[in-house]
Amino acid sequence: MNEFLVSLLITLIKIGVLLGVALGLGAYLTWFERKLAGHIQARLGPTVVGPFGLLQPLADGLKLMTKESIIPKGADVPVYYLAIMMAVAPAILLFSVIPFGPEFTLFGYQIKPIISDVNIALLVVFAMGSLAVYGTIFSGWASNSKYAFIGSLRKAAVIIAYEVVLGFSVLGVILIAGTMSTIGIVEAQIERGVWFIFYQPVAFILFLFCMLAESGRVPFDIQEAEAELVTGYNVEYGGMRFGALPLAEWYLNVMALSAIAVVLFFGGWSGPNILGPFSPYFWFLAKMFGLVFFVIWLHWTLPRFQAKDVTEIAWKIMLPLALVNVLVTAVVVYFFGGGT
Amino acid sequence: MRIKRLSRKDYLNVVEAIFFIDFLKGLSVTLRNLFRKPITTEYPKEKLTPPKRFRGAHGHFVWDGTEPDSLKAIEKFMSYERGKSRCVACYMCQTACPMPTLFRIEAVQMPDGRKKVVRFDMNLLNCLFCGLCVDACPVGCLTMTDLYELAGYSRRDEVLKMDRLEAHAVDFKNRRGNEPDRIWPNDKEREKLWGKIEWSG
Amino acid sequence: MEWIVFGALALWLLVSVLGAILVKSPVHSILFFLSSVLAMAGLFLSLGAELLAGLQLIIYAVAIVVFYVLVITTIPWEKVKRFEGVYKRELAFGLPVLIVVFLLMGYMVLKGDLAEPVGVVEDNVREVGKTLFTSYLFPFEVASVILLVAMIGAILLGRKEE
Repeated sequence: MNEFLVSLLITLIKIGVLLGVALGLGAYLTWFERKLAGHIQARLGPTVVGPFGLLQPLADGLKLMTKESIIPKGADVPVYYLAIMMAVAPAILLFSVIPFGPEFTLFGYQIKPIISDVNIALLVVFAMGSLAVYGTIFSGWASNSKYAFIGSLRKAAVIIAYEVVLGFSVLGVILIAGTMSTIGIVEAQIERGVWFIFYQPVAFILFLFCMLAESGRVPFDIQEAEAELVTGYNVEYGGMRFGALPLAEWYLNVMALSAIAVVLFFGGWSGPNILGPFSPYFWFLAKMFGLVFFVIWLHWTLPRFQAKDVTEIAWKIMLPLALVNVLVTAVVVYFFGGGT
Repeated sequence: MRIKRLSRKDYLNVVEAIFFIDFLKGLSVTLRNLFRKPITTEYPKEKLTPPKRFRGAHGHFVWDGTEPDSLKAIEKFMSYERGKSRCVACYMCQTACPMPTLFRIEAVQMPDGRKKVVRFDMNLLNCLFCGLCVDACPVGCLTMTDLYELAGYSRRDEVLKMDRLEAHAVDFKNRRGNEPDRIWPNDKEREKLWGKIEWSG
Repeated sequence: MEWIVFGALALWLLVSVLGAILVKSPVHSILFFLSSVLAMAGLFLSLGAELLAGLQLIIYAVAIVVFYVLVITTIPWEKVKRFEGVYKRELAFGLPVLIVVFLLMGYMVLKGDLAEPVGVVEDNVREVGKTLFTSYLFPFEVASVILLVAMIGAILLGRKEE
């Protein structure tokens, strides 16, 4: 029983740390994005609140929380509130299968810096990535608004298409590593001494595009489409309830999927030992934020695809490419070994 | 004009499509801009000085002895005071205005038969700052200054009365009366945008 | 300890299944159905069938329910004829079937032996894959052919008339 309590306590601490870090970083990504977007457009971004505008996320949070809450007429109130949960929960749950570093021993307890090391971790990633679609659909439906509903239908079409491509693009990595556990995949890369992006460059590009599509980033952000749909499914939300939806979709999802991409293609926490025991975490976070930076940079560079093109690209170009990639990988792995 | 149609092949060949050359070009543009110095003017801390011909809040030039000789004659008909507006209440500005009701001009006849302008209100809430009233003014009284911070706490604040109009113009003349009357600060700036102009005369 | 988790999940499952049947609004009903699918995935996880849980999440909770949701949310419900009351004829047909099935299942549970797990399976995914592609290769391939036929049929039905 004592053993059980200790493991429960450790898990709770891990969850607390992860929640704090993820939500805090998510909030600060808003600052980072605004700053980056500003400088890309030769502006300054937030400067007034605190040094370099560093307190801007806090000010924004305060502003959002103190705003009046307006529920649109004819809205389905329980579903309206539930939709926020359904959008935020999968984005946070995605973090539960991300290993941030190798196992270490603290006070005689073996601690893995991952919340649940299940050997279907990647399936959980796909499932959570697509469960987020319910948040979008129901927030659009429940708010009883045309714009919101069109946005949510578009998002549903995008997610259904890209989830399939995402699954097939990752299959190559699973074939090479021979496991679906995230820790196993990272260890397979460390063992081989080579990141899987060199084995699976096509898969990485497909994964990157699916990541952009799932997190509603440019060039696949047809569900937001400010010009046509105002801002899509969250248009009827106000206050912090409005803040939660982009936070989940644009920041938490991007961070979590970047972390998954780091695990799958960039060797997870592997890297030269420069900071002693903290260097795995440093490398992991550095790679993850490299990817997040890339996504945001892409966001402020590219225009948006047409709504009809987005799903066509997925079904007609990316899915066949992913299938061919899986086939080639399977043949190569069968003949030249790999996996275990 | 003929339109040249390009097929997809003409602007993106296979290699470019595979390696996302167009993406990379776009990304390099934004990266270069990322390290460029921002061009923002941090408004409340820094304020731009507009060119002298800027069409900002209106002003009334005052009768102070600097007016051209051709105007001296109307002093006979007008009851001017020194340092007060040189308006003659001819309603030309109101006639030229696309939104005439924003003017409220009144004049009275003094006991000595001369005309005195007692009221010249401009409701800037209706004004679109086109400058037609300035062009129409026959005595060179109405002008536009470089003041652009026109926000106020009530609608009444946005109505320019004669005293404010006079104050604007006096202030404007003191600050910028000696500058050459042109849009560009100097010829070099102008040539940067418009190139060298060959004057015919 | 496991019983608490199992009990909580089972309670969640039962409540959401009942909700799916009893709630009036079709969207609420589909939400309860989604919740029951999630509870089922949780049950699978707590029983150690991780692959089943993952597939339950991906296939049922996402792929299938999403299409229900799409259909239900896009129907203009104010135009559909509402039925308020008890489905008498359906109940008359359904109740005997329900009772027979319940009795059969009760008999099976009481008389039959519950399957004991034979050897602890280390890697769910590997074992399921191996079984599918060795012992059950033929049914697996037949199933995929059936799906292919269904897909072709769907494409034919959805094709625009030239």
